[in-house]
Amino acid sequence: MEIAQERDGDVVIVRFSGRFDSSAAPAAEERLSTALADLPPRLALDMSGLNYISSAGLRVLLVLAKRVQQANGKAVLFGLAPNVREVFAVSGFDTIFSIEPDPASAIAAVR
Amino acid sequence: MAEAPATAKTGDAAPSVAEIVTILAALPIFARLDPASLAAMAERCAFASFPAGEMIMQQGARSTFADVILDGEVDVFVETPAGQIHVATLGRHRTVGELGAAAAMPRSATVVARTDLSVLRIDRTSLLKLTLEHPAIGLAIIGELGRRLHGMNRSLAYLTYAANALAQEEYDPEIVAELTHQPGELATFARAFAEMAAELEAKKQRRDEMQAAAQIQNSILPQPLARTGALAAVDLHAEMHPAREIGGDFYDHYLLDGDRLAITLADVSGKGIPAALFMAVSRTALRAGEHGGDMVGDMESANRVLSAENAARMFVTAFHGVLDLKTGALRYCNAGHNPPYLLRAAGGRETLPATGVPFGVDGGFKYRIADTVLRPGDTLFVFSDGITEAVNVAGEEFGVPRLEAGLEEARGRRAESVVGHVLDRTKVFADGAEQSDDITALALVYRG
Repeated sequence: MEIAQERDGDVVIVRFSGRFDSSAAPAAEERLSTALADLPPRLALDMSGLNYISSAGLRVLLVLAKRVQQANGKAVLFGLAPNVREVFAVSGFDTIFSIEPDPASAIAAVR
Repeated sequence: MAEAPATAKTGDAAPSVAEIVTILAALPIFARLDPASLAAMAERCAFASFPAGEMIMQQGARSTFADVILDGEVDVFVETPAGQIHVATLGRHRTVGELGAAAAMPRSATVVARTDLSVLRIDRTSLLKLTLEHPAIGLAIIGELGRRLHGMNRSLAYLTYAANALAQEEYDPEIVAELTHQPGELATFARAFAEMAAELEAKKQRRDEMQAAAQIQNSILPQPLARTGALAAVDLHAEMHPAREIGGDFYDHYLLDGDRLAITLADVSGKGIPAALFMAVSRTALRAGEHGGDMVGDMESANRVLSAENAARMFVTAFHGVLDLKTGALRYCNAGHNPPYLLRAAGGRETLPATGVPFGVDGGFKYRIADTVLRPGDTLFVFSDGITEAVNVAGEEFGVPRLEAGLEEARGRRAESVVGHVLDRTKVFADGAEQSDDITALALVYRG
């Protein structure tokens, strides 16, 4: 899985592409630590490139969400493909994360 | 390839013969040499200098000279099939290449100037002439080589002792500590050895930790259910197969009162001892409730316990259900756990989706409860994601479709056979790939 990071003012945008499975999880966790540099952190996670997420991937996102919360920041997901959206729904994780329909509303929600 | 020719320089940089005699006399190798021999040698020495990065000697080349370093440092490398290995860094007044020049052997190593370098150089022909005219010089060289060999033998003896100690788990870093501080070739090796030993010690410690965690994990699994009385209404079988790195799955089942059976299957995030301890706490928190019949209150209370003091940011996905053995009514709470399957004897297959988030995520979360009814012959299958996320050597995951196919194949079977079939399918699929996560499965056939 590839992870790219860019900035839009005070918002850090993280873009995922590929499969977010258990082999991708350790590297992802490390990479995402660097996205938390700002205080408070404002993250918009672009999931549009993901074709699959497993519970290992959900866990990495959960740890990220907790850290963001503890730092009084905000994290929002956008661009979820239907099958990925379903994984979030079925696991109840869609109530943990804010999910927005598009980049603009995601960035606005995080600011 | 010819070795870098000596750029003999005169002028301020090049020392006088008298100065060279002083330098040579100070070298341990020539410490006992008489003045006449020293003077004869000094006259045959040339002064040479090289910029940083220049290769002075190449491994395998014919040896045509020996150097004494006046100023600067060299790196000594040995070419191996695995690549170039740095074996030593030598500085002021160290000799380089005397073995090759004296014994007419090809260079045993490649020497590169690490910094700008100036040396005294004596060519092989001169050296041979000198030793014929002044045998004491030959003896001094032999003496030095002998001392080196003795030193190496001693170092090797220490390292052999250290290697044996490691193998018998009696290793003490002190054994090689002295060797790592001495200058020269074996110091580098001794340091590499010390690092390897430290790594092995760390691995052993992790292994011991894993064993302790496995013991904790095993100690909290319940004994198989009796099959008498009210429990004759169910056929329940559960198994947990830990991965090498403990993942923290557990399952639980117990009679709440005469007519109600509680079952739990949970997956703690994280690994090792912290996960095992969190698992023990989770089990206790989940068992603590249920006597008042308020499942929501019990789940929220367990969640509060698991969310508090959770610096390690661990969380637990859990399926917790209570089955009325007389009526088949199943009341459950699914805290973010991969949905269990309900295979209907009448045909069809349902899932029991999440009714809330995993425990440990949000201390104040309001959980929902759901209800369904098991009819005679219905099979409930609860599992951990170690099954769906089991990978084979090609990196493919077992996945939901294969699990569902396996469940359909096991329709109508006894609980033990359902679990056995799914786990066999998983094992065959993995085909020898290492198990990366705990695998847990619980099947309950309701007889009614």
